[in-house]
Amino acid sequence: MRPENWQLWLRKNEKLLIIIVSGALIILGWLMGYFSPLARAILMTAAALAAGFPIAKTAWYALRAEVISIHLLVTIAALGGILIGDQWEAAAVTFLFALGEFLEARTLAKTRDAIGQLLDLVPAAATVLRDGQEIEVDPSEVGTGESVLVRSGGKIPVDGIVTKGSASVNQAAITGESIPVEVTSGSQVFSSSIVEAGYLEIQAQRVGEDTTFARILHMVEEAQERKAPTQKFIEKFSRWYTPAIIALAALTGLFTRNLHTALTLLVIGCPGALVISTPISMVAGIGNAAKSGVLVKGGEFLEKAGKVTLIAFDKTGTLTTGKTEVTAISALLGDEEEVLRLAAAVEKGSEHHIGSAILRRASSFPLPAAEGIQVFAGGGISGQVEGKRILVGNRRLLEQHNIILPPESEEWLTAREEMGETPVPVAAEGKVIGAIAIADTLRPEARETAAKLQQMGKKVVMLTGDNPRTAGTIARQLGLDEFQANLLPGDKVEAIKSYQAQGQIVAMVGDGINDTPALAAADLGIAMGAAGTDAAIETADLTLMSDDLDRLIGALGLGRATLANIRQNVIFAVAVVLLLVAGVLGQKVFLATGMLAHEASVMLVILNAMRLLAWKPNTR
Amino acid sequence: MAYVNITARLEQLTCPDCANMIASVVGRLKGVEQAEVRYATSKLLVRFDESLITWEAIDKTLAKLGYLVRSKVQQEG
Repeated sequence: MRPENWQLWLRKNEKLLIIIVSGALIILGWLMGYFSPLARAILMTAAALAAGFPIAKTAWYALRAEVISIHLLVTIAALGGILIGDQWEAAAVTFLFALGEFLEARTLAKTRDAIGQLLDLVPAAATVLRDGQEIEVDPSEVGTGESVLVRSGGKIPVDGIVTKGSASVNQAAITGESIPVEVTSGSQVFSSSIVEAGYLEIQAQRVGEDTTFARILHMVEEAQERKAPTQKFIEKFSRWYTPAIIALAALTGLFTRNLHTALTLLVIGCPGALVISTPISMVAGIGNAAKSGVLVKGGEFLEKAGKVTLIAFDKTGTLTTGKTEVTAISALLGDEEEVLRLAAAVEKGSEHHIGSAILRRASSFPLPAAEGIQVFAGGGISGQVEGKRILVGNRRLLEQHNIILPPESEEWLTAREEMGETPVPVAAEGKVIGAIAIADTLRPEARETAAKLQQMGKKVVMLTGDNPRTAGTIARQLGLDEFQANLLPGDKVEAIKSYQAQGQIVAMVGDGINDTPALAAADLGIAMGAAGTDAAIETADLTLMSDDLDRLIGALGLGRATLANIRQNVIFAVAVVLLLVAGVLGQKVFLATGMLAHEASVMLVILNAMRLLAWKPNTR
Repeated sequence: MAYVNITARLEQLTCPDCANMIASVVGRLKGVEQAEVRYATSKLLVRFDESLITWEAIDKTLAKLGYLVRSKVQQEG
């Protein structure tokens, strides 16, 4: 190796070398101790100096910035140990501290590695088509609108729309789901997905830091930093504890003249296991969630997920697929086609899932223009078509407009509602001319998910704007505990508040687009199938990136596991603190044993948190 | 003034207090406008005036404290 490489190697492995040297000196010291107490004292002092020098250096630079660090406490304890003639204890304290730090850093690296593993998924290069030439560029340098080429085995470097080709794409980086999806012209694809087979030309929409994946990474990091209430409490405690122990050490030294005990108090002055107990479990829990396509905004939400007692579902898009379809049309006046045509004309501007179903069905007709469109939230829509006032909406909207529902229409509506469909009456000039029935497919896993949630001891309810009969049919099919129908968006908020008033901890699951207030009102707002929809990710506390209800069970289970993990860590750490203080004051614990207990407890807390990385929902 | 933002990934931070300590020490250097150390990700976010202090000087201070920088990203402005 060249000299500069040696230097680099030394610098990188400095900590390990110091531990080896110091450890060797300690062993030598013990051996020599049989022959000469003086040699032993010298060797032990040398060991303490070797391991203690970097600690003292850190302590010194921190002190210059008026920060009292744990390094300072350890330095004083070690120096004190040498001065009162207990060189072995001084050596042990510094050696164990250095060894502890070294081992903890290595273990922590593994705990924190969920992010690292995600980072490995970031694409390194992009192939763009410029002036008919294929050029390789950095993914962040692709311009929006440019054509990007990805071949088999390649990573998609941008978020965009497929313009040419088809492929099976593994979107695990985004959704946590490793079963590939088939994409073709017109499909939305995400950066960091892998093209397993096929060829794609993609029109770039978002690049670099703006891609969904980059934002996920960013959010996970932010989430891991965000302090949960438990953590804030512990930090308050340690801010009080450390100075108290230092004061106690000073008083003990002054009044009892028992320097040994005073120095030992310094060693246990930083409640290490306690201060890392919560953040480390959170890092592991949030990391695990991110890998399975569950984005958590912060540790406190993972804690909440573990405490939820009631899950409220918005019907459309969560319990159902949200892919609505017209199933039947009834006409009282004129023919069915006319009913559909007029309804579609007013729904043209609507983004509601009922409107889009009607439009899809009417896509083969030329639609007349509609004027004076008026949207009634939770009711329907109206507009002027071919000189007639057309109204498409639910019973409540008809009542509000004093439109009477004829008995034959009422019969038809009831029958459709009992089948779990949503029939919508259509009126022209104040008279009902017919109705259109719309059905939404239940998610295949919805029933099982509800059952599993109930097995976990949670109440499962549905909050919907749909009519009571349709809602009732669906609730019965899924075996829900309760449902509330005919709700306006504001009513959903009220419903959630009344559950909370009953003492329930409420999670609201929505598609994140039209139920923002309800998501915000719940203790835990969960958005589903949110890959690519920024608004949902912004609003929700917890986002299920894939369109799979099973992930909900996993997320709640992980929340519970994280909560339990934190509790174990905190209880253990508090016990260690109490035992150490009692042990020191009772003259049972001295410098070496104090430091050993301190480092070992920190290590155990980290190892316990690591179990969360391997946690898997056992329901899958 | 030429401000520079650097995000540096440090060696693994073992205790949250160490993160606070590093932030305080770096934050007090002349020319450093803002320093934040994140425990969960072992990251240093620092904003400084290039005409008053260099990244090399900050790096040296970190080394004195016993923390090596593993990688860094720079943003202008």
